[in-house]
Amino acid sequence: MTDAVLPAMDLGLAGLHKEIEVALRFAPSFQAAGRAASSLSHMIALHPGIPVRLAGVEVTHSRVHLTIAVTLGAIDDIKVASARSTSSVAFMRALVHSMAAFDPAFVQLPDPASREALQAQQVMITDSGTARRLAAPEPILRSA
Amino acid sequence: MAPGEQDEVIVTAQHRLGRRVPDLTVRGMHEQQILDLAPAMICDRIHWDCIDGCDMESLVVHLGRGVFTRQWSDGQFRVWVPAGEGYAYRDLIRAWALEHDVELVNTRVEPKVPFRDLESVPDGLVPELIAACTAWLFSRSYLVRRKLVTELELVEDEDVYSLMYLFVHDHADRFDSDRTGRNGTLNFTAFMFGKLRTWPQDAARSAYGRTIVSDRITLHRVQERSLAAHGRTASESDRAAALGVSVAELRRREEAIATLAGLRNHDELIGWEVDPQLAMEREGGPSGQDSVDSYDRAAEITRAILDAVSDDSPNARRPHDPLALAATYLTFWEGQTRVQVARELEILPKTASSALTRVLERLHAAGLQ
Repeated sequence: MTDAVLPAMDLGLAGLHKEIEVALRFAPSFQAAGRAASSLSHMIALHPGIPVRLAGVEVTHSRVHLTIAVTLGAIDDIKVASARSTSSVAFMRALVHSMAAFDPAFVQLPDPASREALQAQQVMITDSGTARRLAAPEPILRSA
Repeated sequence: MAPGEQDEVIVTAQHRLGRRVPDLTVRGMHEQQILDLAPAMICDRIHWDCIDGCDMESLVVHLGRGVFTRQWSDGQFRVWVPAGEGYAYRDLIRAWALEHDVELVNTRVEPKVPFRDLESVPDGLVPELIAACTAWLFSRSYLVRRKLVTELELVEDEDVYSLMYLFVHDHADRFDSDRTGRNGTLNFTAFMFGKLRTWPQDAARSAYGRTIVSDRITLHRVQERSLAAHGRTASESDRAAALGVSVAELRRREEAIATLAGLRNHDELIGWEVDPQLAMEREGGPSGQDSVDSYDRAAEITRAILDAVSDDSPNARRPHDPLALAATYLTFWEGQTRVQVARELEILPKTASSALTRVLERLHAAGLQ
């Protein structure tokens, strides 16, 4: 099965559970980028049951954009407000309030082929690794 | 100086333990004896600048008895007149200037300032007193000296002693020995020590302008507060709010501060950009206001939506509503229609509508437009 065929198929029939992801973007300034990444890693590590991935990394003129995709859960979980889905919402709310200094905001999920998403793929999602790589945005830009 | 007096421990104005500053002695005369030759008075001070100089001797003779003058190192012209008569004397000075074709600039009156006519003290005792005071202060004011050299572009270490002498000389006439504090009467050196504390800032203000130095002090305070409270550097919004200006104006002022720092320190500690062109190309264009506002606005909306899909009341049937959040997100951020959202979430379109309506109603109730 190839990726090109996958969207056209009924995932339920394929034995897969469709999940909904919500993208949250943090926009720290250059100076605060390392600290933001470190705080984000810490928060994610505190909630190991919440599926999170780094969906985008982008450096603008004045800010570093860190976009994470939080999985709300499978469709059935969302419809019945299961513990998994509600804990994802609670996690996002805690993130948005505790990291308010970095202007967290919903954004559209980055296109997987975009430079933002490609740069994110180069960053390892580990507690210290994320912080270390994001603290130095220039090498990421050059490698893109 | 009495034996052991220097070791006397006192409580300072900052509620710390300190040692009493010694009284000075010049040619066997106690400082009080010298200063008693020019007793303290309360006067009005009139000062001004001149385009082509001003014959102060002639002016003082013209103004009559009870009027004094003394040269300060800043080159301004000053006279001290009886208290309460400053404005009347200012008019007299203006009339005299007109008569003698002297152009006065920015004539100002400072009412009720302490003054001693130190010129009337004989035998060069005052210069020696000032020299003794400077010698004592110089070795005990390391931080003030460092700050002065750092603050002022053209001041080098070897200039500081002369500058301090002039500083003491300028402030000597306003020493009011009758003033008493918690540790008794203030002596001459202690008075100068107090004045010395704000000397670098005052000098920088007069050299570079009040705004730029005050801005820098305010921005440092904001950064320190932010680091202590939030563990991060203050954002542009925070810094702009602290100065009471827009983000665009903040950037202009920070450029000015950075340029000033760059004049003296090529490898500046402050991380602000010095190249104005580069700075103007930052996100949001020259103003930057739209960009900052858009970040704030997006964050505010996100917070409000997450609050709207959460119910913190203890009797809540369910604390969070993931369906409403999913419907809202797919509608506004993924740009899907009601039917597409319903298909995506495998629900009826009217269920998707009602989930979205729940959120919008709560946002409206929370006052978000």
